[in-house]
Amino acid sequence: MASPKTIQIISMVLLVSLAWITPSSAAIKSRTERATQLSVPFWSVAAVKNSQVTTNAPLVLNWSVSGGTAYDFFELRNTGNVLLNSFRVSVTQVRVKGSGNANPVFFESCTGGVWSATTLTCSGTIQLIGSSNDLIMNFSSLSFAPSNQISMRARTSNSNRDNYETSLSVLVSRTDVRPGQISHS
Amino acid sequence: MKIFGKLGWRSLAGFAIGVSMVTIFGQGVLASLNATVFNTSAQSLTAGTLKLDLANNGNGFNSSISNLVPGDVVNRYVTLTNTGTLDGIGLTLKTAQTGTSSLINDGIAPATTKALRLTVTSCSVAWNAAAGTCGGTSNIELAQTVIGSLTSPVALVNGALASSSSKYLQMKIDLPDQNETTINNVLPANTVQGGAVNLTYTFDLAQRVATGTNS
Repeated sequence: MASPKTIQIISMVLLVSLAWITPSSAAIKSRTERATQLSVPFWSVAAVKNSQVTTNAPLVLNWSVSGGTAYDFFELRNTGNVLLNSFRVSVTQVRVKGSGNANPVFFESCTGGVWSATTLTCSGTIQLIGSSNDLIMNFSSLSFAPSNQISMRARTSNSNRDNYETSLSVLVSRTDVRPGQISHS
Repeated sequence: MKIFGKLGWRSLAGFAIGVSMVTIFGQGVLASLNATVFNTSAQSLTAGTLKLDLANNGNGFNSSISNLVPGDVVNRYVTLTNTGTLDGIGLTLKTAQTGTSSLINDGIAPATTKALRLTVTSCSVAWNAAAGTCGGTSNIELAQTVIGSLTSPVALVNGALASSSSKYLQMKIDLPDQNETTINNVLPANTVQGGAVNLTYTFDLAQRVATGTNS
């Protein structure tokens, strides 16, 4: 049980504290608040065989050319959610067995249409993008919208050098998207 | 008829004398002078008010900002008005944000991502929100700051806001340019891509300094 003197001291301390605290805490303040949202898109392109699901891995084309010209078909899909002006495809070739260098592979797009694997025809405009010798193929001056695809044909001639494979990796950088803008509204 | 006896008269007389003395001396105390004065019309005292109002100038904070790519700068305009009767001082701003961390705070090595930044500029007259121009004098109220650093109130440079006056603000959000390469549909680690942030701006205004007056 606290003595009367202790109670007196505590009371004094409380009174003094209140005297100091009250003026600042009693000051009037006014607040206003607003919320908003911001979002950033993502840029991405995938190389996949026609009508196949997108995978997060390089597309590998396997060749076994004994004679004539061989073809393979694939798509480059804009899997992001922003318009792309350009992107790049890195090409590497590996001999699986046999000897000697693999023949170059040429890549052709079918602008405004699609390649037919059965008739080997393009319903749009054929454009040679590059070959495996280039190591990097540049797709430029595009207006490549999200969910759209570019129909591609890979072509190589008889090598008589057994099997080899071509690996395609797609790279999309910040610079492939529109430049930064200043907006007011 | 004899009503009081000899003793009865004496008692009555003594009682009467006592009462008289009490009355005489009592009256002496009760008769001391008192004076009272009061104001015939009551003095009126009213407490002041402090009301901070925020209005959008153009889109302001009403519409969200989407598809922001590195290098983008988005300017939004708001007007703060002290609609109270008291002058205000010490205007501060803080933000609360939730969402993608790489958009809130700069990356820590080895991540090199750069987060959203806010710059606040005032204009002495209302901003032209469509053109982004100030027809008067502009002042930087808050230098470019990463939004994650604004969780505690930061004083604006010119924090006074008199009663019935307005502060016209440009709220500039920018996402620093930074290179990110997506390979085979795989986003880089700690990316800003695909990110989103909910951002709440809070402005606080305090009353003017209390004063003692003589008049």
